[in-house]
Amino acid sequence: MSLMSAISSISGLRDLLPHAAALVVVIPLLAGPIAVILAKARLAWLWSVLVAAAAFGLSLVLLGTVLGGETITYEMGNWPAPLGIIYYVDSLNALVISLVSGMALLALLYGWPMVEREIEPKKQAMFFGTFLICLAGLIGVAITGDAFNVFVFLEVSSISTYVLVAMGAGQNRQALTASFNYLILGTIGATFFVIGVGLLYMATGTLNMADISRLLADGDNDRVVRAAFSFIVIGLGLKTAMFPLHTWLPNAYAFSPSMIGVFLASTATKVAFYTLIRFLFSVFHAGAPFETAMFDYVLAPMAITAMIVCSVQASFQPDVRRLLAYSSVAQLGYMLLGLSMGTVAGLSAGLLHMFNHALMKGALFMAVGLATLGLGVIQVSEMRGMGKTMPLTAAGLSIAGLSLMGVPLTAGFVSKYYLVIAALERGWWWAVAAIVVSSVLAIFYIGRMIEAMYLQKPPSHGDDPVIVVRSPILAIVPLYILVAANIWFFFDPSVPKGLADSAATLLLGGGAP
Amino acid sequence: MSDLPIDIFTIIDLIIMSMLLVVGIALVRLNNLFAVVMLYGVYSLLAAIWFVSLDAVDVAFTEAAVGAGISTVLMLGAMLLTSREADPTPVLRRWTSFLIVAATGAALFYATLDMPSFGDAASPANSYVGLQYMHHTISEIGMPNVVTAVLASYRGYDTFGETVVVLTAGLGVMLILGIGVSGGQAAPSAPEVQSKTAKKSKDVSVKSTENHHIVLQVIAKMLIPIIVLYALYVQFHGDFGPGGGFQAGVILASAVILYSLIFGMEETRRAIPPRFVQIGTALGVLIYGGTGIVTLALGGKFLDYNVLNAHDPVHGQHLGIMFVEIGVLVTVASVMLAIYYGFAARYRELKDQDW
Amino acid sequence: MIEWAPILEVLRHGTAGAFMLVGALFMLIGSSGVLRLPDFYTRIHAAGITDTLATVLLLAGMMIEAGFTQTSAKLALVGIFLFLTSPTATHAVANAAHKAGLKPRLGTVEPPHPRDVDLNEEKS
Repeated sequence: MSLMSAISSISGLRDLLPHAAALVVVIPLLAGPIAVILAKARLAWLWSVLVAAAAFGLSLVLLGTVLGGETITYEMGNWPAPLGIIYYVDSLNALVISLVSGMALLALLYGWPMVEREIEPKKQAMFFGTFLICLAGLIGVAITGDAFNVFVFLEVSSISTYVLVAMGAGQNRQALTASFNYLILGTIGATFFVIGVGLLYMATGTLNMADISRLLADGDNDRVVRAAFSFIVIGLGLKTAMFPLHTWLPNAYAFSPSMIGVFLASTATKVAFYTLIRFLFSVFHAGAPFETAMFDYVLAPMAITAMIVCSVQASFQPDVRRLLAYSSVAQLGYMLLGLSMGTVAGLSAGLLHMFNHALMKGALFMAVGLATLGLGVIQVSEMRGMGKTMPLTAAGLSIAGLSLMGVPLTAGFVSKYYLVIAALERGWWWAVAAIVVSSVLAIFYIGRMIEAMYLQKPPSHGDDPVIVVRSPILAIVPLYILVAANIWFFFDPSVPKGLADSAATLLLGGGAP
Repeated sequence: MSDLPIDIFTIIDLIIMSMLLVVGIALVRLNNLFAVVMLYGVYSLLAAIWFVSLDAVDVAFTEAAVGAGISTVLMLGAMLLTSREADPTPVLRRWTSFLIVAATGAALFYATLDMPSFGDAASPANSYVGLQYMHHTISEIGMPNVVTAVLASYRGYDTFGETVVVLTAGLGVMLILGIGVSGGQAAPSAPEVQSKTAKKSKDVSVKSTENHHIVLQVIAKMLIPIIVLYALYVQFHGDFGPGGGFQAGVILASAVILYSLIFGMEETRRAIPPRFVQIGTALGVLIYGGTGIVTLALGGKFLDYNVLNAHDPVHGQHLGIMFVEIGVLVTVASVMLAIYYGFAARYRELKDQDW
Repeated sequence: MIEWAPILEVLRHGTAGAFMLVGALFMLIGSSGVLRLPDFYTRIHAAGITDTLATVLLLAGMMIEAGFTQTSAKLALVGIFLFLTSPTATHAVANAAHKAGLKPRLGTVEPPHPRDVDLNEEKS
């Protein structure tokens, strides 16, 4: 913190602080093209790390301001709200922005040794440029207070994501098909979303989210608004990988470059989930009968199905990264379940789980990427003996896995605990049952990995031990930062919990239905 | 205010809409990709006409330039890399898709029941923010084309995002296909490509200046300067009439593509090297964003053009809009070329191996 | 004293209408030609009519209708552009077809004698 105050004491930077909300997006957005022009891989990487660090610093500044009880509004082009586009930061998206920029920084640190091996040297500079644009897109979606601007930045982040996923083709040509599937479904999602926004504009005549919300409160719940609601939920549902719309996700995560797998698993669906919450609660009015019906009879059953069906699918996946990807869909079910309760406790638990899940999945994908690098691991069975051959990676993977199961002493326990409490409060005993079943399944599929790593002998060629590529220190450090975070947030979840609580209270206006 | 129950414009709209429907159905049912690409062009052109009839001239212009114009060229380029026939869709998948589309359509029909009638001056879309733009543009921005004012100033940040989207698409093509920065031997020109079914070996050996193409070359040399001039007109006339960076960029790129189709890829690469195109894609976004950084440095907010001229905010708006439109032009033109180069580079690769 | 202005006005509209009508007629003829003529080269000939003559007539009609305005100048530019590009496009297409080895359907037409044509056969 003293470093932070030292930086901000430089007067030139202090002048920029009122613009922090804009700069946190604009800096990576402009740094991306500069990385493309730089054309030297190592230089582009250093530049990207610098930029991600700046974005993280700025998002911490925003987070600090929000924790101080303020909300930040920034008018782009100095045009007032309904005429121009505004950026709006409150406790809900300050958390998301910090998460995204922090994960980007860690993924970049972790990524250099990976990218060096996985991507053609000629393409690395452009790869980092695209990554920065993706980062800017994700932060842009989270920070904006304008419904159409969400669409624009959703496109920025999605298109760059398709490209980044396709870059896995150097390792496995299937990355191209995975990316293409993602592109088609993602584009359909974006189209649905923009149809919904168009219908909202038709009904209200404005694109500013707060303004739409104000105008919807006046009017009766007419058919245009209902159609808009459905289109937006389906469109964002596709981006969030909500249960029956998740088919793009497993392959996209499994075949992307390791660094991108880490970044996407911990941020992309989280940002989409945030946007869903933003629209459901602060644009539409969650208490309206039509919406309550959607929550109880569509979202909640889908969430439960995802939690169980995708956990079962994860249990039977031989491919490690696909296993983790299916588990991600199941975990998204937990978050959606929290959301669909429509109560402050539920929403807060869903948000907390979103934060924790980013920490654990980030760590898991990092560890698996290292295992692939060290031993060429692709399948769970190939992980045997990793406890001996790659002890550090195996330990990190196990701790993050325990967090995914929801074992006490890890962050995963905290959010599941709050989720169960919220479900009981709402009287949804069947939801509690589903959480328990899904957790048992998680024990099973994570257990498969732990069993292979510690209880089986390492593979060997005759008497010679298997050759292991040493894990680079640069990649181990971010992994352990995330592992430490997984433990830290068990003992002190006050910051994310506090933010989630205040966000949930804010969104539901205090009075839960 | 005619007494007729249906006026002539409604009839025209209905005719165009039914033609769109027919083309749409044909598109779905065809398996021949060449026909599909061509029909897409027809579809876009019809849509553009319809937009003109709806008084959305700027949208129509973009649709004509992008949808009917350059997309068709790029799609043809992509088609050359694959087969001319699509595999028939399995029956089950066809019906599932139909059901999903029908459900979507039904939802939209459901919404129409409560929609304000078309052109209703009291509807929210026409009376609230839209009307404010109409009232404020002349005094605040001082240009007759409200569309340009909204696009480049009021919602200029969205346009910045869209420019980045275009850049990202270009980056995607450059990353996945490459644009042949390394260079290589002569690529076949398009007339030769068309004749690939006949005497391939002979065509590759002859120079592209063969007298077969003399007519095309003469006419192209006359047309290309005119096209470039027109692109600049569209670029700088955007303040007053339909037009702007997106359309101008596409038109500029199409001039280069025409040159390359007739004089060959090798000549084009010499005229505009791929590395130059690559830098151009990034440069446009930097010009746009740089304008925003300048406004920050001058003490305004991001993209607040008023501060560009300390004495006359309206003049500042003009300057700002000019700069950002140039940024859009550079990125759009470069990205279109990058995509074209990507396909063309690919084609040569295939030719070496398989053809 | 005859008021010339309204008469000229009527004449102008009439001429413009006539030009456009004839243009539309050529458009129709060209289209039916594209559909009905037997082979590629004859069809392209028919298509050429719609591209050049019909379009130029339509443009001329519109220019007369618009009078001495900027619109007319723009229409004239469109006309020049089409005058350059349409024949070139037709040429390019025909040239490509020729190089691809497509042969025109040559040979004289030998219609059967009417006496030999059975009415039922013609129907089938």
